[in-house]
Amino acid sequence: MSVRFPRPPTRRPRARRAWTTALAALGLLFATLYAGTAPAGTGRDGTRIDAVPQGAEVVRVAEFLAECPYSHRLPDDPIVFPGLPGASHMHSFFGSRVTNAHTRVTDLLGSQTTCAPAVDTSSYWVPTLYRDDQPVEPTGTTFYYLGEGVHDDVIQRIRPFPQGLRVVAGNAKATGVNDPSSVARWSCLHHGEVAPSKDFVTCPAGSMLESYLDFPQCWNGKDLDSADHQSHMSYPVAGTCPASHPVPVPKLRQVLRYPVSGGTQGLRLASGPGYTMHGDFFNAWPEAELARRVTNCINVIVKCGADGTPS
Amino acid sequence: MADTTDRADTARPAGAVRRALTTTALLCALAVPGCSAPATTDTPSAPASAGASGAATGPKTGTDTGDTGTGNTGTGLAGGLSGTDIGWLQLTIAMDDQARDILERAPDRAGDPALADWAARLAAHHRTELTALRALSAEAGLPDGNPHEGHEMPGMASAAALRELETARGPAFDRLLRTTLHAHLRQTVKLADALLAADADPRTRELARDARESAADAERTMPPA
Repeated sequence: MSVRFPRPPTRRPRARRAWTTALAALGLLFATLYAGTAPAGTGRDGTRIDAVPQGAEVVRVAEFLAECPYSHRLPDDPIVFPGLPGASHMHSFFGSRVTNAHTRVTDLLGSQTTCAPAVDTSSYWVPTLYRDDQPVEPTGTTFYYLGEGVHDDVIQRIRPFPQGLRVVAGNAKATGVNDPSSVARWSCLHHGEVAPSKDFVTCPAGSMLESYLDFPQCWNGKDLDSADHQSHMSYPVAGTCPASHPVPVPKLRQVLRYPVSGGTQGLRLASGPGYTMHGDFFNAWPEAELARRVTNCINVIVKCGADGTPS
Repeated sequence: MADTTDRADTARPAGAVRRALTTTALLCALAVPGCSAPATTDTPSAPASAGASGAATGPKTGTDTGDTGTGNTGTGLAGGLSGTDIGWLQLTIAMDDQARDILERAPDRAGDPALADWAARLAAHHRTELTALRALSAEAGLPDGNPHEGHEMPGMASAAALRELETARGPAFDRLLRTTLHAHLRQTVKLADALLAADADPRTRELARDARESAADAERTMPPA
């Protein structure tokens, strides 16, 4: 091999340099194969490998996931309107098949679910998407649990969500495309040249309209919910969890892919324009299953699949 | 493309036991105030806080009454009010505020004088009702606003309808007023019924009874087109 790679400082004995060089070459090869228009971001298509040309190590990813297809639609919201059926705009539910206005965590535990793994009986929901007043449900429905957005030492301290935790993501006061409180982003599958936006985007034929939504990942350590359904959780600040919300929990990243492309006319959410996108998570993972994944995948920064083992 | 197929899940044998416990908890909660449920309630890792603002008048729901069959999230929410109370209160404030705003335009815009009169009376009632709703909200230390501010909600006028209402006059205004108010009043009755069927705070129940009665009455007395 005649190509030379700059070597980082290493304490490895001299005899290992040849292996280091070979690994670095492999890393560069992978980086070339997988580079492209796909924006950076963990777990976008589930098969990406990050590589640093300089070093021998692949960038480590702390992740596990659940694939939870669409289950049912109801104008209910057991977090915001518990006990008040019909109070909400239409929601599309994923995961537990039993969720309605009266649902409590004990109803979710052990319930029928669409999720793989089937132990995830949590409930996830979003405002229903409509095209010309017809509901359109996503066919890609992946819920990533990530150890990112915080420093490595914080990742090691990430704890499982308490059972029954309610988390809401997305702006409560959606006022427009430049609203900084919006954490929703729309994009086009495999078409990173279409700039992501807080509102709907026009995707090329054959692509899919994607919604990314990141949930807050710092918990106040006490409350399963709060009066505004947001105050008990916080997003990290400067790579760590603020003193007000000191307990780091996995970052839930909801990725939905809709069989929608072309112009955005006729598209709306039950809550209004695309920038009103929001999501709800009602945690009903069995405690042992969640703890195992947090320990074996998140804290040690390993990428796992739906079964919670390294993939 | 993958279809949204069911993932058949085998029912867990413990489900029957769990349901029995939950039923017991439900009966317990409804029949005997202060009765404690078996240990299937929500339990955060540490004791729940007293509530978002700490303001506390009236009885507290307690830290973990969440899953005693009340539909209550029961996690130390504001001033004795459950999640059901708070959801109803915040939504009704938002609905009444929007309806009041629409109704207050009627004297200037309506084509039908009888409809204008009806609207003026209903606007006055809504102002009174809002004062009472906001008083309870303040008493309970609830934050201003609601989680769905800026979102379209059933019973509330859509953004498109609101734009039309800005400029409509005469018969066009009357038509819009009737449509939006019918939806508002129907939803008010539906929500009040739902609250009254739930295990709600007495203060909210009283407000819901009043709201339901006046909304049903307004529906009945709306001058026909």
